This record gives sequence, structure tokens and C-alpha cells, in this order.
Amino acid sequence: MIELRNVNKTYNGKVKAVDNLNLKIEKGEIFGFLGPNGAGKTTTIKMITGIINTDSGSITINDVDIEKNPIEAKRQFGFVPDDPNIFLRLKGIEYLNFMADIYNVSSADRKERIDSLSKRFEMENAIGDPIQSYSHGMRQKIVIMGVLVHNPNVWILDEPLTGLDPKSSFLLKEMMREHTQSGKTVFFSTHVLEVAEKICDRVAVINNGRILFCGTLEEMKNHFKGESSLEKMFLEMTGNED
Amino acid sequence: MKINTILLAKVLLKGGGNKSGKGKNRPRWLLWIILAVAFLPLVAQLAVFTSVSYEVLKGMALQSIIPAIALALTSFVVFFFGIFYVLNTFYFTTDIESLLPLPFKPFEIIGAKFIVVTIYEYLTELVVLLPVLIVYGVMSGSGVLYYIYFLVIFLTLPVIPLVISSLIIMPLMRFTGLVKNKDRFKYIASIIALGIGVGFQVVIRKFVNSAADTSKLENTLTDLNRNVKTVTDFFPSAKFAALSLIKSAELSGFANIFLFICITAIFVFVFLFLSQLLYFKGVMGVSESGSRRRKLSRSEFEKITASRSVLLTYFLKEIKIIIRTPAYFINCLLSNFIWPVIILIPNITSNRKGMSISQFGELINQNANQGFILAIGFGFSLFLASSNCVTSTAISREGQNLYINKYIPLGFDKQILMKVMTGVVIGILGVGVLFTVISIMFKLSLTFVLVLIVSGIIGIIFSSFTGIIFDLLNPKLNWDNEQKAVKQNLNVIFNMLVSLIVAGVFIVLIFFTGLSLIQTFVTIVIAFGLFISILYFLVSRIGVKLFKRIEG
Ligand SMILES: Nc1ncnc2c1ncn2[C@@H]1O[C@H](COP(=O)(O)OP(=O)(O)OP(=O)(O)O)[C@@H](O)[C@H]1O
Ligand SMILES: [Mg+2]
Repeated sequence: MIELRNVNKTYNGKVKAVDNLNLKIEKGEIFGFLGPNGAGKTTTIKMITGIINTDSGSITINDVDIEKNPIEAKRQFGFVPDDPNIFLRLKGIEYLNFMADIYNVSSADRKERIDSLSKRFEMENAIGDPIQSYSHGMRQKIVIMGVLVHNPNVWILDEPLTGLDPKSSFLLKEMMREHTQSGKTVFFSTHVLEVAEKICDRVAVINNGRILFCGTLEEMKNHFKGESSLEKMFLEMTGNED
Repeated sequence: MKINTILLAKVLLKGGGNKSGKGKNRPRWLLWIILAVAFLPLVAQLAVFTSVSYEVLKGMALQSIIPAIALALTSFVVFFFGIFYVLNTFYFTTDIESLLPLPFKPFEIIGAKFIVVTIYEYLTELVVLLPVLIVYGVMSGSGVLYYIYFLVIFLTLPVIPLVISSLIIMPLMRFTGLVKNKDRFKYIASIIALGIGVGFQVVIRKFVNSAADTSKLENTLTDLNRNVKTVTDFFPSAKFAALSLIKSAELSGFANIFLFICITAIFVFVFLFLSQLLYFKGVMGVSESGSRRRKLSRSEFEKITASRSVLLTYFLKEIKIIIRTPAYFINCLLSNFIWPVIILIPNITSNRKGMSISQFGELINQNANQGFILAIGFGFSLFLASSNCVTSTAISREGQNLYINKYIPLGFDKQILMKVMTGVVIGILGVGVLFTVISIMFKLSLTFVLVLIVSGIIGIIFSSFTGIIFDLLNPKLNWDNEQKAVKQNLNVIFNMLVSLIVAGVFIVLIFFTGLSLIQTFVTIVIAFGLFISILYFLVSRIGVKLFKRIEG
């Protein structure tokens, strides 16, 4: 569960990136975060994960406040950033083991998970090589595996599907489903409306730092009686803004 | 075409992008003032030293040896730094991959990079050459021509030594294209290049030593040209430069500067020609890294996935990244061993003059002034740990990936301490090598060695802490290739400056108070123990806040 209350963020005292944002992501749901470029998705995610500080407002993950109790809050989630170019000098497996150590994963658990994840993501032949030698999509896979290896309760992913091949993309979506079925939470941003339509229980649409809509896709369709496709609804919502 | 080269050089120079944090644009002049203040003491010292030497040498009618020595030594310094600059600018940047698709001719890219390196060397010249030759010019009452020639020489002097360092490195690096493990080969090649540089140092020391041998000087007192020649034999071109300055009032001065410029031009052409053959094949695939694409064997898998404590794992990550990133390897690790080498070589090579090494060792072991020598050892450790820049670039090195440290569930205090620990361990490595060699060479007593080691470690810890404080205050995170995180990073200079001042003040204090070995040791333990506690407190309280505040 993730909860944001009256969260604000301004960059350099000028760009209001997030404007009095309220959002609640429940246990057991896949939540999609939609919005055009520069809407404030990454900024919101960075505040949830403790990467940047909020100007005001509070954020809790599984009821743990990220400001007040950062370490405990950070133990609740796993994060996939939008830029997969991290730890390029480490070997894939070294990175996975680093994450396992940081999150205190037992020796037996990590071995089993690394084994099965590298099989499922078809990375068995690559994990022994430096991440520097990976393609963009392989780098994304290793970052996702780095999250799965410590099996966090909440998944937070910033555009996880761009760059993945169809098979891996399907696999990730399937894993999101499995994850939420056991009562856990998935929160991810995306530009791909079809993906949102297919797997999200609820979505929020953000533009210029403000939430324009939050609810199930059914509700969205009811709201826009006239429009037939999600794309048209999205364009109408975000286009009217300015 | 020329315009292209100069434009490109400008872009490459600016690429340093000294911005940290967004919107915080520090004025450029501030940077220059800081640099000037940092080097002013050295410049002043050199100026004073020159004027004193001038008076002394004038008595022997030998004053014109000053420009000769200055030019030869500057050429050498330029050459030695050149090895680093060329490695960094030509090989360990990845900008070449973004330059290749652009419509530049090969020699334009090489030329631009060469200009960049030459400009770096002007800074070296500003510090080591300018004060000496200005003082010489004033004291010898030289005319306008002297200063015109000097300006020309100032601008062109770095070229020849830089071409020589490039020509050592380029053929070596040419082989990277051929070997399988490119990263590893790059290390080996840089170590070889440094070895050659050090070898040069040994040879030139011998030259200077024999030239400075007074008996020899007296023999050749009448033959000015021969004196200049001995000193400048090593960099022959420096001879013409020196003669043009010495004889600036005569026609032969003009002839000499003309010759100097011609030789320099020839070097430039040779360089451009050879580098086109050598450079691009060597630099291709700089960002390639070894990959095998095969399944790990069961035992390899078991070994890599062993579980470790959180702190150890973070520490090992830091070390691995330093070792595996060529730019960090050179600047953080290899640089650690350069000072020891520079200090050891004159002692090894010049044992024939003055006292012998064992005599010197006896002196340390018996002399009442052991406290002073301990203070020097301590000061040196302090300085070495600051010059290896492990902690003073620890945050900067994270660059755009700093955010990872923000979302992993490991306290910022612990992360910072592990970064300090990395600096301490690497510092101990560098100082350890030197102390071991010195202890064996000088046959130091066990007590002295023990006391020296403990003091050394204290010094290393101290400057590792001050280093990370500078980097926490103002990290340089906006870089596009790794060498910019460690090169052109002011935090390194700040920390070296602080270490130099602290070490200097401490050595002077011990010298004047004349404390004994044990007294000095106790002073170090108590005073710097206290300083370190304060620094520890600062880092774990305020440092954490600073770390939190940094938003990549
Ligand atoms: N580090 C920063 N400094 C200043 N402004 C920033 C910074 N990061 C983002 N912004 C601004 O904040 C706003 C929101 O950006 P954000 O990255 O959150 O958008 P986004 O929804 O993730 O967009 P995209 O779909 O392109 O990833 C934009 O106007 C952007 O220009
Ligand atoms: Mg984004």
C-alpha cells in the first residue's frame, strides 16, 4: 500500500512538478500511472522512493513514513528506475548478489531466486558478464531481477516495459499479476495505454503535476461517454489542460 | 578545417561542465581565484629561490644556467604529467564514440584533443616556469625581445614533451584492439607507460646531479654553451629555447628561437602523421568490456553468490568500481604509488653524493630529532591520502547514479563511512609500500616503524574524512564520462591544500618544539584522535543531511 497526502514539489523554486497530489494505492492492486512527457510521473516516484525530498505533504509505504522512518520504508519496496544504466562495472550476478546482501536475503533464497530468474529472463549466459556489455533491454532485465531477488512487498517501476522484447514484457506483466494475487502491490508508470488497459486494476492520469483522473478503467469509460477508445479519452483529458 | 579543430577543442574543454546541482552556476573567475591561491605559495617559493640562485650563480658567471635548467625541468614535468593527461584525454574518455559519427577528419579530432592537453599543460607551466623566467628576465635586465621569445616558448614548449608521451602511449594502446581483455590491457599499458616515465626521471636525475656537481661546473666555467648543453641534452629542443632567451639581445637569439619553432613544427607533423595510424585503431572499443556469454559453472555461481554483511558488500562494491574503471584506477589507485616512487628514486640513485642510505638510516635511529622525522612521515601520509582523491571524489564518482544510494535501505551515515573506509584502505596501501621500503632500506628500529605505521594510519583517516566533507558539500555529479569525475574536480585540490597546510603546520610545530619521538607520537594520537572524532561527528550528523540534500 502506498499513500500520498498533499504532496508538493517544485524544482529550483520555479517548475511546479507536483501540485498537491493525493493518491492511495491499495494492497493487491496493479496501479498504472499515466500522463504525457513532463507530467510529473518520475518526480512523484522519486519522492515515494526517497530519492528526492518533498516540499510538503507526507508519503507512507505500508504505513511507514519515508521521511520519518526511511530505512524501514525502503525495506518495503523494490524500485526499477527509468534509466537502466546502473552499476555498469559490476557483473550482472555481482549486482544481484549486492542487492541480496543489502536487503538481507538468505543465502539459500538468493541462490534459488537468481537461478530461476536468470532462467525465466533468459539471462543465464549473460549474468557472468559485466553489465556494461549488455544491451539496453538486457540492462532493464537485470535491474528488474535485482528487485525480484529481494522479493519486496511493493513494486515501484518507472516505465518498466519500454525496451523489453515481447516475451520479457509478457513475462513481467505475468509476474505483476502473480505478485498482486498474493495481496501485494504494484505501482508503475507507463505511456503505453494498451498495457494499462490490459493489466491495471486502477489508473491515475497526471498532467502538469495534478491528478486529472483516478479510478478503474470502467469508471473512466463511464466518465467519457462519447469516447470509444482509451487513447481518445487520454488525449482529451490531457489536451484540455492548457 | 582549422576552425573545426579549434571549435572541437573548445567543446572538449568545456565538457568538464563544472556544474553541480541544478541552477547553481558558480562564476568561473571564482574557480581561477581559488586555483591561484592554491598555487601561490609554490609560485612565490620558486620566485624567491630563483632570485637567490641568481645572485649565487652570478658570482660564478653561471647565471644563464637558470633558464636552461628551468626549461629542461619544465619539459620533463610536462612530459610526466603528459602521460596522465594523454591517457585520460585520448583513451579513457568515451567522448570518442560520440565524435566518430560527426563529420570530422581524423586529424581534427586528434588535433583538438592535443590542444586540450596542451592547455592543461599551460597551467603546469604557469606554476613552474613562469615565476623562474620572469625573475630571471627582471634580474638580468633583459629587453623586450626576451619577453617576446619567452611568450613564444611558453606557448610551444609543451608540444615536444607531449608528443613524446603520446608516442610512448599510442603504440602501447594500439594493441588494445588486438587483445581480448581490453580493460585489463589498458591497465597494463598505463603501468608500462608510467614505468617508462619513471625511468626517464631516473635518467634526468643523473643529468641534473652531474650538472649540479660543482667541481664539474668549475671545469667548464668558461664554456657557457657546454653547461647549457649538459642540462638540456635530455630535451634537445630546450637547448635552443634556453639559448634564445640567454642571447635574446643578439642575432643568435633569433636564430635559436627559429630553430626551436622549426623543431616543434616537425614534431607536430610527425605526431599528426603517426597518430592517424595509431590512435583510432587503439581507441576503438574503449567502452567495450570483456564478455564471454557463457553459463557460469556451479562452483563459480556458488562463489559469487556467497552472502556477506551489508557494510562489507557496500565497501567491496566501492573497491570493485575503482579497480574496474580505468579513469578511477589511474587517478585513485595508481596515483597512490607515484609519490612514493618520486620520493624513493632520488634516494636510490643519488647515494654516491653526500651521505649514504645506511648512514641516513643510522641518523634516524640515533638522532634525537626522531620526533621531527616522525612528523614528516605523518605529514606525508596525510598528503598522500588526500592526493589519491578516493574520498574527495567519492560522491562525485556516483554521478547520475547517485540516486541509487538514496533508495537502498542502508543509512546514509553507513554509506558515507564505507566510502571513507575505501579511502583509508587505499591510502594504507600506498603509504604501506613506501614505509616498508624505507624501513628496510634505512634499517629502521622496530619501535620507530610501529610508531610510524600507527601515525600514518591516523593521518590517512584524517584526510579521508576531510576529503569526503568537501565532496559532500559540493559534489560534481553532471559528468558524461568518468574521468571528469576525478580530473578537473576542485574538491581534490581543496583537500590536498588542507592536507598540505595541516601537515606543514604540524611539521613546523614539531620542529620548533623539538619534541621527542614518543612525545610527537602522543601528540599525534591525542590531537588528531580528537580531530578525527570531531570529523566523524560532523560527517555522521551534518554529512547525512548534506547527502540527503544532494538531488542529482
Ligand atoms: N532534476 C530536475 N530539475 C528541474 N526540473 C525537473 C527535474 N526533473 C524533472 N523536472 C521537471 O519536472 C517536470 C516533471 O518531470 P518528470 O520527470 O516527473 O516527468 P515524467 O512524467 O516522468 O515525464 P516522462 O514521461 O517524459 O518521463 C517537468 O516539467 C520537468 O521539466
Ligand atoms: Mg519519467
